[in-house]
Amino acid sequence: MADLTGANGQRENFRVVGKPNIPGLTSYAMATGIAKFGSDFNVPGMLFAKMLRSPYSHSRVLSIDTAAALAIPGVVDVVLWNDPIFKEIGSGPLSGKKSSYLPNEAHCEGAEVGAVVIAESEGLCDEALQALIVEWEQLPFIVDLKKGLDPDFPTIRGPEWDESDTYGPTSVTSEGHTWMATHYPEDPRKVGNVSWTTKIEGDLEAGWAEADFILEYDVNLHDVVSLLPNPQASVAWWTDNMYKPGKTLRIEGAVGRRGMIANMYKVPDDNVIQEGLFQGGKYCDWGLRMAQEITPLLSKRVGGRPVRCCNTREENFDMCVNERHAHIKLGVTKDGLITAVEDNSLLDHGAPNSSEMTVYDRDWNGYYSLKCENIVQKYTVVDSNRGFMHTCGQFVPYSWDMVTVGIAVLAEKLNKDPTDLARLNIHGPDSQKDTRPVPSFEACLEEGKRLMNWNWHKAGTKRLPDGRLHGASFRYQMCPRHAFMKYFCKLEYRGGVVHFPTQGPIAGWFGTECFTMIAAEELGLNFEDICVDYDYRAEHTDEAGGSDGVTGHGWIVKECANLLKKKILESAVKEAQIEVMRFGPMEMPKPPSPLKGYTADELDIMDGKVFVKADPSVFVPFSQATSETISADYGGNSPKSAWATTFGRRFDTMNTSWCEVAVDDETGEVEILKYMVVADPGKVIRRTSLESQIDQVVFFSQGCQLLEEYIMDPETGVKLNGNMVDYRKPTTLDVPVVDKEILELRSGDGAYGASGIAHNLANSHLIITAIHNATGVWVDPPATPDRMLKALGKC
Amino acid sequence: MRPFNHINATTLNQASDALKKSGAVAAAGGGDLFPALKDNIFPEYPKTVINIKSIPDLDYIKVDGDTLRIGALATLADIARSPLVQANAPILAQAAGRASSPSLRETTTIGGNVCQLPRCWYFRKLNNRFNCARKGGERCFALTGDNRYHSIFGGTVFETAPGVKRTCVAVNQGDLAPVLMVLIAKFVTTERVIGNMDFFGVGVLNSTVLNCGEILTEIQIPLSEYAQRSRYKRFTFRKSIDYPVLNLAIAVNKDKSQYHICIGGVAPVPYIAGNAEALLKGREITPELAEQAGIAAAEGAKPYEANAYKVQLIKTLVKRELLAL
Repeated sequence: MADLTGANGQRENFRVVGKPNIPGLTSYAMATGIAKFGSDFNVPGMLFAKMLRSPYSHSRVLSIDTAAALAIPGVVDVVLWNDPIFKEIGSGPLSGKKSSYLPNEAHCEGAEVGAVVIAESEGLCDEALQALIVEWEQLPFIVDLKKGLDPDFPTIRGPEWDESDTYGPTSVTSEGHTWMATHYPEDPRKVGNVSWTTKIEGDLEAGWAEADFILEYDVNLHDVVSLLPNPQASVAWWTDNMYKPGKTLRIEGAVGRRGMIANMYKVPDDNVIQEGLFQGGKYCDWGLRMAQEITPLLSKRVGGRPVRCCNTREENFDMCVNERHAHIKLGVTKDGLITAVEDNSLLDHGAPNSSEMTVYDRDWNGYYSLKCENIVQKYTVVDSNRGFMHTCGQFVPYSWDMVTVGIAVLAEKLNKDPTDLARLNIHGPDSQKDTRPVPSFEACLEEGKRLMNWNWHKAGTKRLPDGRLHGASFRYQMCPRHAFMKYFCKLEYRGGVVHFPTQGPIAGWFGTECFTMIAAEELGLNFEDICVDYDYRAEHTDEAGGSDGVTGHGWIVKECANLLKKKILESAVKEAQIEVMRFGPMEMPKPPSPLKGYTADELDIMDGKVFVKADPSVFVPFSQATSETISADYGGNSPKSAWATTFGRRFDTMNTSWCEVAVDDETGEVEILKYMVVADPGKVIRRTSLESQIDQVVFFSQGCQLLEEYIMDPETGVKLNGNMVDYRKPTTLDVPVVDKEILELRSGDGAYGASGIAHNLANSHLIITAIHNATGVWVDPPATPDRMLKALGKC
Repeated sequence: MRPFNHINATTLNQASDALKKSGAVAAAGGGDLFPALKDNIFPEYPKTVINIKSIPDLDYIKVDGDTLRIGALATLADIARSPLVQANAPILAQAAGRASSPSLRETTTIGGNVCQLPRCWYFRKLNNRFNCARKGGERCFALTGDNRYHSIFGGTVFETAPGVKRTCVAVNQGDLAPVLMVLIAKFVTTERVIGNMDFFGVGVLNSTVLNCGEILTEIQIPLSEYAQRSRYKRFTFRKSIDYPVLNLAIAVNKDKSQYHICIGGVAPVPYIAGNAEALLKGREITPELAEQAGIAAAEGAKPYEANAYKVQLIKTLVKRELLAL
């Protein structure tokens, strides 16, 4: 649905929105090191805290002798899991905890467990941790999912993690689709470590009957880390405040709005001060780590002294996307039309309280982009001790590559260009029954083919002049925009200047800049005319969620700006009628306003002037439009999002991604020769933000497919490569610059027809598919030289 | 990182004496030691760190007669950009210029590089999680664990205590080691001069034959025809930062009567590909001979399933580098 109904929805000319090189408001601070992140705060009298972490993949702390640790000079306290203080903390945002806040059972190696030490320095914390005499009970663990399938293997989760409550009725969207279901009432009950759940749509038997042949293939996804670039850390302390009853909590470094922290510590929002703006960049990942939550509790424990807790780099290596092994059967006609889909997947459930949304998603996947409506998704989910998955959305784009690979396999079998097969199978704009072309898809496809000089060849048939094998691949996806949250915006005209108060916090996507551009556009101002007031007490927050949230939130800002504009013009008209200025008891004649006699409807704002539409030479400077202070508030939901309510059964904005690789079949090295994104985000708000979101998400995808994987010791379940040397995030030398072609068909349902961009360019198999096209073999990601040589039969 | 005492040594004697005391370790550039301290990988946390970089006049690079002499404290960056090294041992300059990352090359030293401890992830795991044989423990965890980066030429048996023998399959992944081997370098210490074939070793918390308190002071490279006809190849999964999964140095004398081939990352010490050297002796390189030499270089390998790819890499890289020689 195009954005045509709201204020200025049909705007054709943009002066600010879409303009390149609008600087980030906080870029200077971040580039120069002025910006302070959680780990940067140093407060006089500050203490340090560190958690005991499990050296075993599944363990229980039976007892801890703290005497030796407490005897170390400078060690202030050791707080054990059974201390009543942990009852004082509520659930963190997006991390509902079912057991004690600090448990005595660890469900993966490196998990916080049993004790926290508080000392005068981090070094002393380390020393104290080493001095603790811990009696551990090692428990059975699962890091190999296939081992977890063994019905005789001991159950690794206790009864407190019973899932019986999740077998109830599922959520249904306003469009009538079930979503976010972990289980359906018909699913068999969990046995031991294994759950089963099946989502059935259409008539699979009818789909098989329509098919001329059945195509089977496997798609294996490994678990990866998103890796937050800044160490998770917070520092907190409690103070008396003469203006407020009760204690005031000052906390820096916690992700999220202060309301979340207030909620955790059961204090009024007004009693929480969180002035630090910077959280550090992240790719989704909405889970707070204990280091970001626990410091207020520990500060209270030591009488209000500031306490800092900071994760190390290694401690940041918790899981992001879980392991999945999909075996997929497609029913296909001889022309290549898919008639039935059966997905049998084995998935990792992760450590207890991992994001169920991440594990059980069967909504946002490529299957619903097909005309085929006969789709069955059968999940076998195994509890494991591989790691903890925080709430994040990377699983969404990943699921789409079940179709990316399917189309590539089909292309190879039928000797047909995969872009033609995609075009044959993709449904129309309005439903899976709609056979019309999708304009955004067609535009992205054609432009991509043109820019790539697309000339598909069968797998393993092309060598480059240097002897390496050449391969190419493509994928399509819908651009995302979530519309789950209510957004709020307040703008204020004060002293002739428009103020935009926001609490931040800043997590790397420059939402505030986008919102400011929208407000400036609607108010006829320039970007720099809007004064952004960073204030932790402001209601507005940048936490809209990447590009997909920004465009929805941007709608609210747009509406708010128009409300403010209307109020300013009304006030200007009212003030123009006034003939006398008053200053205390004095009165003096006021110079006549050029706007006198006009109505608000006859006026407009542009380029720093309030002017008469019929005669723009008649104006007053915007800064003198009115002496009043005027504010506008607007809150609520943005228009419904096709992506968030139909999961791809309706299409508005689309994108295509393209990859060309060279494979050295003697060394197994893969080089990405070209990586191109042709995307139609509907309307570009801030180009720099858009391009950097693409860069970031493609970087993530390239790393996952070429280098990154968790490696665990099979004997102990201990993570062997949780560090920057051995985990191997790519360097900038390892991946090429992403070529980007941006189309603006304005068919999104956010502000100005915009949609989001980021998530759905992430992928697990675009490069893998290109490698297959080069070599004729499928390699499971990451396609490191050792795996490549094995797949090629060279070792 | 836990607290420790820190001494800035001003003489080799002072440093050597201090290192003989229990719980003392040496730091030059710190590129190997400080991450190890941070990760608390040692069975006993060091009480004292002896900074030997404060010892004057040990960072020289000079030609003395027919020998290129490099002080042990010369940084990798200085070696990489030294005209003397570039002219007289070009593959050493290349290897030094590609090790680690640009910032670390400015601080880390040639002495530290050749003495570095293994990169084995069992050895390096936080908080001494695996007290392996290389730390004096009972066993090598890689023998039965994930050994994709470990030795394909078997483990080294060594004494962890008097009369107690254990095996380690961690590899020597130093960038400079294979180069110094093919350039027939000599290693000068506070106690002796050690030949290239005898310097690297396997011991408890030791990758060389250096004794307790013995300090490497200089590396001597003879100015020979080998240096002028040589190749260095570094194979990594990433283009920067990574330690080499496998690295290879080849040098040949003018009349091709003798080839030197040394491979890192495949054995506990730099691996001399003797079979390939013998095959090539006195012969001109042809594509067929290069391929045969690659195969010969990998002869004797007994890889695990997870690291069998290294055999293929040896075959390919030896072949290619010989052809490029």
